[in-house]
Amino acid sequence: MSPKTLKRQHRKIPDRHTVLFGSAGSGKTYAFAAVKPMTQYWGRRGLGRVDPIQYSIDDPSSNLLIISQVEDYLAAETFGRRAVEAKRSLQLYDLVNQAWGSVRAGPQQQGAAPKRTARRRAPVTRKLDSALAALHLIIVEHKRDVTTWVSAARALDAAAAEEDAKYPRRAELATAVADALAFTPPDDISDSGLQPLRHAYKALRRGFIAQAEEDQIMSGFFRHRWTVDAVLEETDLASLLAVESDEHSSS
Amino acid sequence: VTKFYLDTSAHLERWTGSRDKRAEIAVLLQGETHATSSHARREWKRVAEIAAAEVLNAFERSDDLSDVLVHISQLSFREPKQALRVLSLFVRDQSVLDRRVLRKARLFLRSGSRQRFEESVEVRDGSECQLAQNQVYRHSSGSLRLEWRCRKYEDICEQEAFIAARDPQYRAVGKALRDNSPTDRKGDIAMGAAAVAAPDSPRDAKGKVCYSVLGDVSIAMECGDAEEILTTDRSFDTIGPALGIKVRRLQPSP
Repeated sequence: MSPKTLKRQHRKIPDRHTVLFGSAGSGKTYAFAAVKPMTQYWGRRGLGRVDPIQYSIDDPSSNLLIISQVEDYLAAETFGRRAVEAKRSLQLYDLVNQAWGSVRAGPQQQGAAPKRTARRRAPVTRKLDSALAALHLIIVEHKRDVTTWVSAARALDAAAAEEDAKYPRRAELATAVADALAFTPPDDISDSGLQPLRHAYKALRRGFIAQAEEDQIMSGFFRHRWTVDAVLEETDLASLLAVESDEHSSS
Repeated sequence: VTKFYLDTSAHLERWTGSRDKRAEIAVLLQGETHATSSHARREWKRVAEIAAAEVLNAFERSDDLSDVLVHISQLSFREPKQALRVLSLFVRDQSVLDRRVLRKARLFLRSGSRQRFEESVEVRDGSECQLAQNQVYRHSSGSLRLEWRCRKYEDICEQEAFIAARDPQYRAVGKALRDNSPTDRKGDIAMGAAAVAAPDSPRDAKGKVCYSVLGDVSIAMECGDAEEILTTDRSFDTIGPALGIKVRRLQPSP
């Protein structure tokens, strides 16, 4: 989360919600749990009122997971979809307290302000917003039906078409993710296989996607055996070759 | 677990073959890092990256996919079906070219080609082939190109030293290909003759002889003793035994 993003969170967080967020600093990644009721606006004043409890986390993969989900949370908040907040935030809290045996108190004092790091973001258009929301259903709410996956693929395709001129790398990644969702049967992918989608979800909110990040996402798709390209079977080839030969004979 | 050494045809089947063939290869390669040759990379680039470049070039001229198909078929494929299968890296269905296809082609050239080729595979580069390192570039004419040819007098690789270090192997494979290949496999017989002659005149085994005649022999030379060549190419039925290497030959996609 960039400072700008944090400052943009001028949304009211309902009472009695747990909020987690991640930040990279001092070579370690931290998760922060704000467990007190919050009635203040999240943003310039919000962090001071939240009294975050800070944890350092030993397991990098868990870090990615939690930060990804926290960003999902914030994204949902930013764009006004609050319906699932309470439930999800409780799940996140459980993750911190149960799933991470290695979580321990961090070196900083409770209540200390988190270190913020700058990351480039680009405006998220309405279509990309819809695409990210569709992706969110898959990576956070673990929807495993073909309809959800195909609908996310279509939304990503539409967003890619809109983004192509200004953010070509984002558009290219969106197209690749769309194809992965369109060509891979949901049942073929385990929960850990969703990791490249989580990375893509984060990356797609930035205008420029660094080469290393793009490589990580794409190699994740290959490693987890996603089908990222079309499969042209004999019938497809026959019909296309027939079209071609007809054209040649007519010319 | 069998450790495989992938020929170019195995790479192509792995990523552009029929659904069943892709699944079959995925199962074979599961759970192990395998190996391949920079000569296979050179051939992969010539097929897949030129196809991507031509897709992008064609978009400047036409929005008709069959134009691209005709063009790339003339470049590096024995039959249109192979060209079509490679196009499946970029097209979702039998549609006209659109910007979506271009986005996939751009991503493929930037990182997708390399990532697919190297996925769970170590690349051996004993001859330090420059062609395998070349990238698609924009020519002054405006079109995207890949330099996939070289001349034997260009010093851009270590192929001469590579051949000299494997003198007996080249002769053995060459003799087997020349003398034992079926008469209808004229390419294999020519490959055998070139391989027999290579140790005596390594420079003459460079350039066109290297990139268009000796490819399979050069690929096989770096296969480890405990590895098994994975291919669909019949020439390895002769090359493998001559080198004492096991060969797993798959049927190509229909």
